[in-house]
Amino acid sequence: MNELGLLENYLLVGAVLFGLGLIGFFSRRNMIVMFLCAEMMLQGVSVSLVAWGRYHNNWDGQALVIFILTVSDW
Amino acid sequence: MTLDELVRNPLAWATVLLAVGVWLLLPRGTNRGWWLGLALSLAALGLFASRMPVIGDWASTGTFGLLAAVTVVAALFTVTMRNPVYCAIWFALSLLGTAGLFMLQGAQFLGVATIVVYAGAILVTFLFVLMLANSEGHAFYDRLSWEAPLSAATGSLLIGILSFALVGIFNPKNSEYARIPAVEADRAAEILAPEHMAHLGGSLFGTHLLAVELAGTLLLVALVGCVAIVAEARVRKGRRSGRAGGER
Repeated sequence: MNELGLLENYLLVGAVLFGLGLIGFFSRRNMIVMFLCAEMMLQGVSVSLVAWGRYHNNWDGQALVIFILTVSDW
Repeated sequence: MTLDELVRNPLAWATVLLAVGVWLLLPRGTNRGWWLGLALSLAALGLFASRMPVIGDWASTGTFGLLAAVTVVAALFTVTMRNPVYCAIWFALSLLGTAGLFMLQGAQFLGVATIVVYAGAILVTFLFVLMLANSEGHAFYDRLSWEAPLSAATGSLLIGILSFALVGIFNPKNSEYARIPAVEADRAAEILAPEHMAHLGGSLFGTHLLAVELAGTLLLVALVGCVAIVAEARVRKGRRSGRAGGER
């Protein structure tokens, strides 16, 4: 599989998720929807982290995503 | 980069289309232009997707494309739906797409954890809160947005800049392209190994042991704070009704 292409694709998806969450966080007025949008930004970051972890053949990306899960859900 | 190149770049057009489309989709007190907004946003996302490189055979490319499309389109609806219940349900679909993307990367534990923790626990709690608190119908603040054009432009600009940088860096014609480290390690032995959990747990409780302890402390502090807030509310309620506080 084309690892560099895979990395670029996942980073693009992560960027789009982060940007859409940012739009929602700025513009929506419902507290719960704002929270959902913040979670969506975290999802974008998680997608990027997992992609970097796979590209570098390294577990730190996935370990960081576990910490994101912990902190965002407490 | 000159203005001429900027006008000819599809990513610039995608950014503008996304900003206008999301602005039309966001709640503005009227439903006019919703379908136009949907068409513009989907066209913009398609333009972004058209810059993506092919990642292998048609099966893996198709799987990735399907999952990414589900994730991103559901995220778009999460942000723009008027009814918060629909927002939560679309967010669940977006999470399912993200979990699929994690699985496709070989991160099985994260895929399952995303579904169990987010879609299973957090989202169902939200739906309960929404249905208990908001049962009498739409609130006025769900039908209006704060600075919709400005926030749509900001977010779209961020997406545009990030994708522009990505497409530029990963372009083989880029002069710095040769300096991108090609990691040719054996992924099947490490990150895609069959004993996935053993490796992930080893990393978590080896390299990141201190962070695990800190995260545990954080959760404990959250628990204590929760108890303190509830106890304080009870004391206040007891005082107001004339009884001695905190007896129950």
